Formats: sequence, structure tokens, C-alpha cells
Amino acid sequence: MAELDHLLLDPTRLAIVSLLAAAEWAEFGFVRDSVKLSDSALSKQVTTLSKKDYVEVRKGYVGKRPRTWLNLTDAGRDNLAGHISALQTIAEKARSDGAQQPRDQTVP
Amino acid sequence: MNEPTPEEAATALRAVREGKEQVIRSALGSQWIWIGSGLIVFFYCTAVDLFPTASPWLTWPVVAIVLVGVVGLHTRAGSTLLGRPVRVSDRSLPLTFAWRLLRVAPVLGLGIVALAVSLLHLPHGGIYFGALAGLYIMFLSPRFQLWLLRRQDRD
Repeated sequence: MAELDHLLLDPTRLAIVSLLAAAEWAEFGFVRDSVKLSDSALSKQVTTLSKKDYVEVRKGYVGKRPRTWLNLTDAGRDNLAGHISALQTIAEKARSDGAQQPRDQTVP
Repeated sequence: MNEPTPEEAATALRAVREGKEQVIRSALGSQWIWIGSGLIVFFYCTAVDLFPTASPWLTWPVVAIVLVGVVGLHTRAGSTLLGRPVRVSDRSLPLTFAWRLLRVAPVLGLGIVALAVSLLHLPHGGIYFGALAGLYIMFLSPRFQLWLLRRQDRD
């Protein structure tokens, strides 16, 4: 059975990683607006994720404006896939337990 | 480490799905890019139909614009310049033949129409074809892309 990833139990970090999982790369501003965080709050989460090798940060310029792009590493993708699988197991188990319970109650 | 409750797990899974949907919606970029591309195709086809002798020197700028656009959308800086802050990952796109065919179906369809127009020698067929291709690019192509990207996880 896949295991939960303790780093992704934080809803904000899960939201950032989920967003990046669907993308090859995304601009810092896009991620900030999507997960509704301030620049500094996102920066802090990205630092945590990049230290653990979940997220790669690239900096560059468009014209004279500095830009930052984020992408999920292969390790980050693998960890997210395992985490999602573990979450699905929990949700499905609860569903099947819930479906079983009324039947059990009717049996004398 | 505390295991999430089933409700928390369901909420987290919903957040994962919402993240994907946000990326897909944003990946289509600015509507003006689609409208501009459709207009370029329409004006190019119209110009070639009305002034066939000018076709060689009309083709090169259009090819250059298309190349710059395609290469630009594959780079971070170019994509940002074109108003697309995110590039959708194609890692989860199925690799089956049916899927590959579906992805190129509109291009194949337009190719067949272009062939039919040229074989039938319709008067000003190029203009009709340009209008059809332009309208497709402006209005239907973004919807088709969205439909394709949303469908990928179901297959």
C-alpha cells in the first residue's frame, strides 16, 4: 500500500504540488494567485519544497522584469502519486465501510 | 504522523483535482492569441487566393510567425510574453493510437477540406477555406483543447 507523505499533509503544500503536477512549469505569480497566498508565504513553502527536492525553481528575465518559474521534480511527482494513492485508499475504505455498515445492522 | 480522516482525505483529493482544473483552464492562455491566429490564417488564405503570384513572399512571413509562436510557447520566457503563465504537462496524455489520432483529427479534417477545395477548383475556394480554418482556430480550437485535456484522465 502507498504511504502518506508527511510533507504533503499540509493542505497548502498539497495545493502547490497538485497545481505543479498538472504543469510542466508555472510562473510564480500564477501559483501565488491560484493557491491564494502572499509572495512571502509562497516563497517560504517553495523553499521548504525545494530543500526536499520536490520543486525546482528557475529564475529569468522577460524583458527587464525578473520572473520565477516553478516545476515539480520527478521525485516530487512520485511522492505526490504515492500520497494521492494513500488518500484514495483511506477514502475508499471509509466508503466501503459505510456501505457495509447498514447491511451488517440489518442482519440479526 | 496522524492519518487523515476520510473527510480530510476526500477534501485533499478534491484539492488535487481542482489544481489540475486550474492549470488546464489557464493553459489556453489569452483569447486574443486564438483570435489573432485565426485572423492570420484567414488573411493569408484570402491573400493567396486573390494574388496567387504573391504566394511565395506571403508564405515565408506566415511560416516565420508560426515558428516563433510554436517555439515561444515551448519556452518559459516566450510563453510568459504570449500571456500563458503555465504549460500543461503532457505526461498523463494516453499514448494509444486512437488518442494520437484524436489529437490531430482537426488538422486532418482541415487538410481534407483543403484538398477537396483544390480538386474541385471552386472559385475563391481559398477564401472559403480560410474563413472555415480561421473560425475553427478562433472559436472551436480552444474548446477542443479544453475538452481533450479534461478527458485525458478518464481514459
